[in-house]
Amino acid sequence: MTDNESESSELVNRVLEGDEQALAELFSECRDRLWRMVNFRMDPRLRKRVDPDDVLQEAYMNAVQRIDKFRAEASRSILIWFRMIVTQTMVDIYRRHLGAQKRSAGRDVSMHGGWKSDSTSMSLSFHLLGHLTSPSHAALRAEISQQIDTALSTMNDIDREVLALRHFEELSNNEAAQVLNITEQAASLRYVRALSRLKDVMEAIPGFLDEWQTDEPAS
Amino acid sequence: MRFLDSMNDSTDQYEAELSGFPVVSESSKFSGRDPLEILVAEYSERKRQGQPASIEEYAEKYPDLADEIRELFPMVAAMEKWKQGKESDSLRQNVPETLKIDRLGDCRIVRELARGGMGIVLEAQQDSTNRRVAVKMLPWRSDYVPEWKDQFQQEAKTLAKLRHPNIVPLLSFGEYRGFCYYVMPFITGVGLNWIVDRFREKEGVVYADEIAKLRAEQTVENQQTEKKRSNTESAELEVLVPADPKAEKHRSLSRQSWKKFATIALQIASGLRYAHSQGVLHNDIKPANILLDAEGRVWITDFGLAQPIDREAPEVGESIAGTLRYMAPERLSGDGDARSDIYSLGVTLYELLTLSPIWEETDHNKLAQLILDSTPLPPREVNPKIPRELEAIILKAINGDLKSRYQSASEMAADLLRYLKGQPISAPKISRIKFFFRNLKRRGRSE
Repeated sequence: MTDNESESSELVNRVLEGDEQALAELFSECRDRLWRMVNFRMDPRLRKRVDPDDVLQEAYMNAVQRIDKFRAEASRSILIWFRMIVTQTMVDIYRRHLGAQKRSAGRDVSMHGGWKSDSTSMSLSFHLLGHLTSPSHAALRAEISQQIDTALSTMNDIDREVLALRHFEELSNNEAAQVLNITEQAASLRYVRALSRLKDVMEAIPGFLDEWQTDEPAS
Repeated sequence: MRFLDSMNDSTDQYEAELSGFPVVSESSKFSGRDPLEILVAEYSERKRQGQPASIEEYAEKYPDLADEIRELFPMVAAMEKWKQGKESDSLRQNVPETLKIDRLGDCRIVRELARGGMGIVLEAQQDSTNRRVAVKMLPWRSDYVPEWKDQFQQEAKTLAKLRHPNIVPLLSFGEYRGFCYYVMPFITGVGLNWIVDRFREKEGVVYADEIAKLRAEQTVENQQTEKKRSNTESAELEVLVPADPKAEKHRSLSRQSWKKFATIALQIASGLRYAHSQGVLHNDIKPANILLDAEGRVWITDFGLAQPIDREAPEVGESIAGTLRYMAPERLSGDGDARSDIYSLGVTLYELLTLSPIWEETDHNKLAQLILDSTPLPPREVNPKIPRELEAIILKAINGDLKSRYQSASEMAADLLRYLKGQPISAPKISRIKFFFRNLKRRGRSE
């Protein structure tokens, strides 16, 4: 067990005793990945009104309220426990601000929020312009980022979700399995299958594989 | 709060634990995982850490899985890259609507003038000087990316030293809740983009008092409780452009005020000349960044800071085409120099004189391509009334070949001055030159 882990388990013990300071430390260890999740999942309409930091702040307060449930609920993964709380907080905030129908609110937040930002692919392709070696190359890359958007939107919910968990939220296989409530083995297979479906869609785009197979310097 | 049912599944299971959580044994960590997935996970992680990770390296190391690796890893790389782009975007455009600001440093915020992808612009009153100021807050979260903040501060320090009659000075700068802002004097003027829009309307004249009135109206609208106002609004306004104050009684600018346009250009060129001499590039000269006040003075605003600080980062939404259109070709493939600002000034003048954008295209990829390898319509083909000399000056400023462009802002200013005085200019008039536009080879702009 690494130092890090033993520090964490020390924190865990303190949280189990009701130490809020320790809870705050655990929360801040997970903060980056929680931010990623909020940033990615947040409905674009909500995003205009609420900062992801505010969501995390409120989620943390909710976690404090729930500290006595920590042992029962967080035993498998602390990150996933926080993530649940953050998700629920987001739903609450969503309802408060957008007054949406009960039924659709949760779905929008958890499944679709991140996939339909119209401006993103455009911005991204501009981002890529910075690297352009020729205009046609740039156009191709821009095309690709739009194609990824489209490709993802044609995939089924579970494939899309597994890709989101593994990439946008940077969850491990184990964590993704917990979120999806399936075994690690199943989660692992689903992820590989989703990648391979993505590949099938992307293969239709000329030049795509050439583009990404050329190893780029790590950025 | 409501919680998902699945969260409570394990309630009873661990109730008896005294301390800590049960330790997950090492062997169960890989339980049943697809070997390919394990490699993918490692590869993603290396990419995220910024470590070198080559697809071929994996393919060679795991020959049994080589085909799958070559097929799927590119997807992984693409997803990671795409995510980076999205995150970078949201850190930059994330000024929430709810962010209400009453006070920044010694500035009392009076009202919000604009909010958009490029940030928030606020009108404020500076306590120490009792001066009316404009505060511009940049949209990206510099508290998340310390390099952005450092770069902002470094640039702001340099810019704060610039003092020139045609440059909106930077009075101070700071940070508020992770957002960087800077303070400038409030200029009672309009952007050249506004002027161009007006000229496109049928009347085609802009009156000096109109500029003042426009500002005054905004003020009344937003300031009903506020009694006192800066006296600029009510003041008697002088000639709009004092190119020739004696002859000029109309206090107006019209579509064919060629000499006045040249005076505007001259003021911009002289502001640029000064900035360049101080080692500062503007990087985003465009009509919206050139303000004209009711006295006819030109103010260059948004020096450097309007530029996305990180060159690789995306710009936001609809402003892309708005900025790209004025960008020199060499900027698209790297960074420019003083001559890139001159190019942008040329494009700005082109638009002011012809009243049409140099390229109509709004799709930014196509636009980039046009900039790189097309020749715009010469201004006089858009409007034959444009004087030959001004056309020649514009064409020399927007020459895609760096060597044929004006080499400095003073060179361009000199030609503008010659034109104003009726002397022969240095720029070759179009009928006699071959108007070289860029070719793709010339990306290096090393000359």
